[in-house]
Parts: sequence; structure tokens; C-alpha cells
Amino acid sequence: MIEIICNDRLGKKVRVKCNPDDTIKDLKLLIAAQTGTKPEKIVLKKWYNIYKDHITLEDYEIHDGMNLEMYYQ
Amino acid sequence: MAHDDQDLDGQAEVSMTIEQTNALRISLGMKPLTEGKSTEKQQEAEENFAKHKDELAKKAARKDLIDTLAKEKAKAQRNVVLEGPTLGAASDEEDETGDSLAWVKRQREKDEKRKLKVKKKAALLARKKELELTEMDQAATSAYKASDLKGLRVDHDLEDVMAGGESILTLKDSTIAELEEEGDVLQSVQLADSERNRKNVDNKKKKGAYNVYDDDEFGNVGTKRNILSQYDEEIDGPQKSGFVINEEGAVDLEQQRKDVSEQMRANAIALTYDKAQEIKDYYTQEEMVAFKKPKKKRKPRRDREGDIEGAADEQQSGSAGRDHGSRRRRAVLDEDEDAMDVDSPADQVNESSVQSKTINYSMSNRNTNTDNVNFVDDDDLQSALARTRRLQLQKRSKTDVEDMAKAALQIRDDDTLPEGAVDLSATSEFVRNLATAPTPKALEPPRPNRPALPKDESAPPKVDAMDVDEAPTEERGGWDMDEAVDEEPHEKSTMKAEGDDKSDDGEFMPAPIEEEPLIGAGLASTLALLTQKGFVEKASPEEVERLRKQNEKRTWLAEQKKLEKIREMQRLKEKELKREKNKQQQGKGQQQQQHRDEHDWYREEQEARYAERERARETEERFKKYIPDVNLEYHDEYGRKLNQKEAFRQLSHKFHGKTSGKMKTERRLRKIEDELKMEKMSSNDTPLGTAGALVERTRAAGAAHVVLSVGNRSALPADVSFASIKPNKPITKPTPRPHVTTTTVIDTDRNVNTFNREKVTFGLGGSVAAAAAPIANKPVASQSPSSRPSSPQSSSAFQPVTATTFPAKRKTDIEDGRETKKSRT
Repeated sequence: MIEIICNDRLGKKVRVKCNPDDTIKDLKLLIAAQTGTKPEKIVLKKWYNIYKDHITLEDYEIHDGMNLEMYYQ
Repeated sequence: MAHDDQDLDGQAEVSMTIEQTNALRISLGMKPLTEGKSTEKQQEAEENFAKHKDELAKKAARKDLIDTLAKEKAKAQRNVVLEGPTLGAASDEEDETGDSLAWVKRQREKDEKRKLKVKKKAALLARKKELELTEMDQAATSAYKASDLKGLRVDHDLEDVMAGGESILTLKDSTIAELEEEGDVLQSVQLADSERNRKNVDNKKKKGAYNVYDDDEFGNVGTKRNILSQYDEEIDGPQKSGFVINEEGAVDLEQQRKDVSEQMRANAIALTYDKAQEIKDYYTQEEMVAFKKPKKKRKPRRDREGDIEGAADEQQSGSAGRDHGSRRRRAVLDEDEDAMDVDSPADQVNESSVQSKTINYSMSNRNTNTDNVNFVDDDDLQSALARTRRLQLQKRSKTDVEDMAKAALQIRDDDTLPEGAVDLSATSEFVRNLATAPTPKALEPPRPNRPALPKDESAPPKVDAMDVDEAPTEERGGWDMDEAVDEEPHEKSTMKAEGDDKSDDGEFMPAPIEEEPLIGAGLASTLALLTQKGFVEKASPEEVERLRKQNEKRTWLAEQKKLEKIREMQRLKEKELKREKNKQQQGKGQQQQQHRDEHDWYREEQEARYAERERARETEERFKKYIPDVNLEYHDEYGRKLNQKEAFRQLSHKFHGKTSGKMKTERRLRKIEDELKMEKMSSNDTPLGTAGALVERTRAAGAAHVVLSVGNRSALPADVSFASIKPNKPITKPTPRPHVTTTTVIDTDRNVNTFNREKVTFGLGGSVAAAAAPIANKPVASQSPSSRPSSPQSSSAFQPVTATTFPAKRKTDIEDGRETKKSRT
């Protein structure tokens, strides 16, 4: 289990517990459950990299305690 | 479900517990969270890492072991004890007694043995070498004798070699090139060294080229030094001294000595001298050749005639400096002729004198050859030559003049007027003067001493008049003949002019009256006459060209007009035809009509297009001949014609929207005004017309003078007023007849004496003239003096009569003018 912090810098900051082999989609679902936004509206970014849904956190080398940027589309 | 906890930056962080997350995950259909952070891969990686670490540790341990083993080995080797006997043990072994004396003995024996061995070897070697050397010597001496040295050169002077006693000569070191050149050379090393040393020392001393004690007598006797001999070595290379060994391998001293003595004998100077030799004043020819500068080659001189001419010119210019008249020159020439009379004897005398002179010279210098020696100081010969030349020249010049005269005659014979030339003969000029202006000057009686004909007319015949065969002029000088000739024909021609023209050959006739074309024959002949008289100028080629162009243009325009008319007519005709056609067609059926209309429309279109094309072609054709005569003229705002510069200025001003400043404009305007004034001004009168006024006044007064003031009065007295003046004599114009000599216009009755202090003027100031002008100008202002009738009637009763007769007279004048005009045209 790892914890990831997602911040949209507009007032929402979510600490999500997940497995490293979860996909980004799973992560988005979890975030959506916590914040109440639709998962398909969430865009996760780290700098200019937009994380794609079908790739696991592990493959993106997202580790415990990392901060992701959250945008809405 | 989610709980918020306050973050550092005051943001609410949303998070869920693990249980909540798991519940959510299950509801979403995902597997629950795994305990721990690692995944399978991570674990594997950890295992791998541990394994790797183990391996590394094992390796290190093994290496340690090996190291320690090696250390131990080395330690063991270091600590090994050497085997075998020690120093002490060895000595014990060799000499049990341990006696050092015996050891020394033994050592000595050993040493001696070794030495002996070496000696033997050396002796053997020496013997061998000796044998070899002797063999070599023998071989060499047997093959190489003194005679083999034949022809070898020794590089030293014989004296040097002999002075040094016995010396060894070796082959000189030389380059291949030198070897090729001079073969083997022998030299003594010591001598060469000493020579080199001497040279070096000399160079160090830096001796000058001049040596006080060095003289011809100190050097080799009989050999003279060259100029700047110190450089001989630098220029020609080192001097070769030395001698050559002869056939016996020796040097023949006797021969050497003989050579030297021979050389000296060859340069011997004879001390005997000719006591009988006399001292001569002149060089002999051989001496002359040595003494004289070699003459430069000169350009070939001019031909003989030219030469003579040049000489004659000189002569003449010389004489011209002294005399200016022909008479004196003639005298000089006469003298020359006198000299000529005795020409041949004089020549002979001269020749003989020349000969005698040469003899004299030869007497003084018996042995010399004087044939080619130039005697410039022979004045007699020179003068004789000059005389002959002059005479020749005289003859030549005389014939020249005759030739010239003949040539002139010939030219006159085939003298024809070129086309369109104005002929100016004396006759024509005279006639013209008669016709145009019968002025008093023309009436002047011809001066008696003046020849009737101008000089240039009579010039050609004068040469004929001269009798060439007759002697008197023959002996005269060449150029003063002209004057004398000039006078003669003048007299002759004047005589002939008085006498009968036809009595002689006709060559002395005055210029014939030029045949004039008759005016009555037509306009062409009139024009011809006018051109002949020079009244009408012949048009220049440019003008002719311009006229031609203008004419062409005019004809072109006329043609265009004609064509235009014809075309207009055609068009009208066509229109008419069409209208008729339309009328005819209107009678036919409607349906057919429509169909046909369309068809017609198309056809018409075609036709119209064709016609258009045709017209374009025609216009093009027409404008082929169109050459416009363009003459650009520019005018300013006053209508003045502008020249190029002004036109450009105007254009430029217009273009730039900028004109010249006030001052400049004013200046220009002033200039224009002045020009206008100048144009208006009469050429023979002042701007105020005073001259005209004066003429009028004098005419009215019948006097040649005008009274400006009488006594103190500045104005005219009443009784002298203009109106009361009545000339008692009719004013007559001087008729162009020779017998009328003068006409007096001064009134004799009203004598000048009556007004004692009259101021009489002929050209007057403006004020008085102006005062007189109103009176004078009243009736006759419009009439010019020349047009004034000279009838006695009008002049006697002056004012009233003129007033009444004026219109009638004027009329006749006009009529006259018309008549004259008619006659002119």
C-alpha cells in the first residue's frame, strides 16, 4: 500500500491509499470517491506529463508519498 | 466517509482510512490494499540484491586468503639461510696450511704466466704486420717509379719547395669537379699550411690596395700589373702557381730560367731613338685618326636642290636684314651678275688657288697626306659656290612666276559659276547701287586717279600683258617683279576703258554685264533674278527638308479627309440598303421572321467584327505614312517665347510647386520690360523721338537749323514762331542728278544776323524739341519725310494747303503703293 497526495491547488487536496499495481484509472476512481468529482473529468499530471489511464502507478514509478497535480477537463 | 485534516497551507486534505479504502475498493471491484509497500517485483529485486551482496562478500574473503598465503610465502623465502661453505670455510678447503705467503706466491706465478702470454701474442702480431708492410712497400716501389710522376702538377712555387729542403708532397684534397678540371695536384701540407697562415695574417692586417714600396720593379720584372689588380683573384678565381714534373720525375731548372728570360726579352724596351726625327706642326694621317673623335653617323642629307635652296634662303635672309627696297636688292643682284660675268675664270682661279694652298700645306709638312683633311677656312671657294647657287635660284624663280601666271589663266578659262551662287561682278554691283539707293554718295564723280575696274578683275590679264620674252624684267630679282607688273596693266586697262572695247583681243574687256533673266517670263525667272541678286536667300537643306515634311503632312491630312468622306458615304449607302432589306422582310411571316432574325443577328455580328478589323488595319496603314513635323514651343504667361533654359525653369517650377523668390522674379520682370522697350525703340531715334522732331521742325521751318532761344529769352519770340515762318524758296529734295551740287535750306531774307545772339543747334536737347514738337507734329506727324510730296504747291502755302491736300495726296500715295506692290509681285 502506498499513499499518494493529489492537489489541484484550487482548494482540493486528496490523500489516497492505493496499491502500486493499481492503474491510473483506479487511482482516479478512488480520488473521485473522495472528492465527489467525476473520475473521467480528472486529469493527473506531473509537470507536463499527463498520466494515461491504462498504465499502472508502478510503471509510472509513482512511489509512496508522491505529489500529483490534479486538473479538471 | 472521508475526513479532512488541516494542512500546513490551510488547505483541507481529504483522506480515508485503510478500512474505508478497502471497502471502497471492494465496492469498485478492485482487490483490497496489500500490506506493506513492496510488490512482487520489489521483493525479487531485494532478493537479488541480497544475493549479489553475498557473492561480493565471498569474493572478498577468497582474495584475502590468497593474499595472506602469498605474504607467508614471501616471509618464508626471506628467512631462508644460504647453503654452501662460508668464506672462512672455503680458505680452509683450498689451503689447509692457511699460509698467506704461499697464496701470494701462487698469485704471482699466475700473473707472470698471463703476462708472458700477452707478450708472445704481441710479438707475433708485430712480426706479421712487418711482413705485411714490407710486402706492401715492395709491391709499391716495384710498380711506382719517379717517371710515374710525369705530368703531375705541384701546387707550390719551385723556390718555395726548394727552400724547405726535403719535403713530402701529397695529393691535394680536391672536389670531384676540380679533379675533373685539373687532375691530381701535389702539395706539401706544411707549405700549404704556411701559405694559408700568411694569407690569414695578411687579411687580418687589412692592408690597403696601395703599397708604397710595391712597384713594377719590385714585382716580377717585365710583367706589368693590371689596374686594380687586388681584385683579380676575386674576379678570375685564385691564381695558379706551381710547376709540372717532367718525364724523368724531376724539374728542369734550366728550362725554367730560359722561359723567364724569354718572357723578359719579349717585353724589352728599345732604348735607341731616332735623332733625326723632326717635330712637325701637323699630325700625320695616322696621328689624325688617333686624335680625331670618331664622327657620329649623320642622317643622309637632303637632296642637292633642296640644299641649294636652303643656302639661297640663308643668303636672302641675310640680305633682307639690310635692305627693304627692291632697288637696293636689285643693285646687289647686279653686283652678283657682274661677278657672274667673270664666272668661269674666277672658278679657275679659285681652283688653282685651292691647289696652290694644298701645295703650300704639303710643303710645310712633307710626309702628310692632306687629301681627306677638311679646309673650312677657304672663303673664296665658298663665296664662289654661293654665287653660282644664287644665280641658279634666280632663273628658277623667274620660271616659277611664269608658271603661276599660266596656271592662273587656265583657272580663269574654266571658271564657271556653281549652282545657286551669287555673282558679284563690278558691273552688277554698280548697277545694284544705281537701282536701290541713288544717294549722294553714289553721285560722287569717280576719282580720276582711281582705276575704273577693281584690281581683282584686272589681275588675270596683267600677266599676259607682260611680255615675257622681252629682256628688261629678266634680269631682275624674282619677287619685286610683281609690283612693276602691277602698275603696267593698270595703265593699259584704264586706257582701254577710255578707248574702244572691241579693238583688242577682248581679254582686257571689263567684266561683261551679267545676263539677267527677264521678269516678264514668269515667276520662276523672277525668282531666279532675285536669287542672282542676292535678295532672296536660297533655302538651307534643313529648311527644305522641313518644308517637304510639312507638305507631306498637308497632303496626308487632305488624303485622310478624302478617305473619311468616302467612308462616310459608304456607310450611308449601307444603312440605306439595310433599311430597304428590313422593309422587304417585314412583309414575310412572323415565325420565319424570328428565325431569320437570329440568323441575321449572328451574321451581322460577324460582319461587324470583320469591318472593325478591317478598319483597324486601314488606320494602321494610314498612319504608316504619318510623319508629324513637331516643333515644341513654350510660352510664358505674357506670351513671350521661351528659350530652352527658361522653358526648363518654368517646367521645374511647376513640377516642384515652388517658384523663385521675390527678388529674382522682379529682376526677371525688369529684364523682360527692358527687352520690350528695346524692341519698341527705333534704331535711328532717341526714345523720346527728338531726332524725328528735329527733322520735322527743320522741314517746317525750311531751315537747316532750329532756334532755341533769342537773347535772354529762353522761349521763341512770337514773330519767329513756327506758324509765321514762310520759306520763300520751295523746299526741294535733292534730286539725284549730278549737276545739282547743293541745296540751301537756310532762309537768306531772315538772316541770322537779325537775331544777334541766336542759339543755333542741329542736334538738340529734349525740352526745346518737345516745345517745338506740338507745332511740328500737328499736320505731318504721320508722314515720314521720305513719303512727303515734293510738289511746289504744298510747300509754298504750307499749313492750310497741306491740311486740305493731305487726304487726296494720301490716297494717291496709297494707290501708288498698291501699284508698286503689284509691280513688285
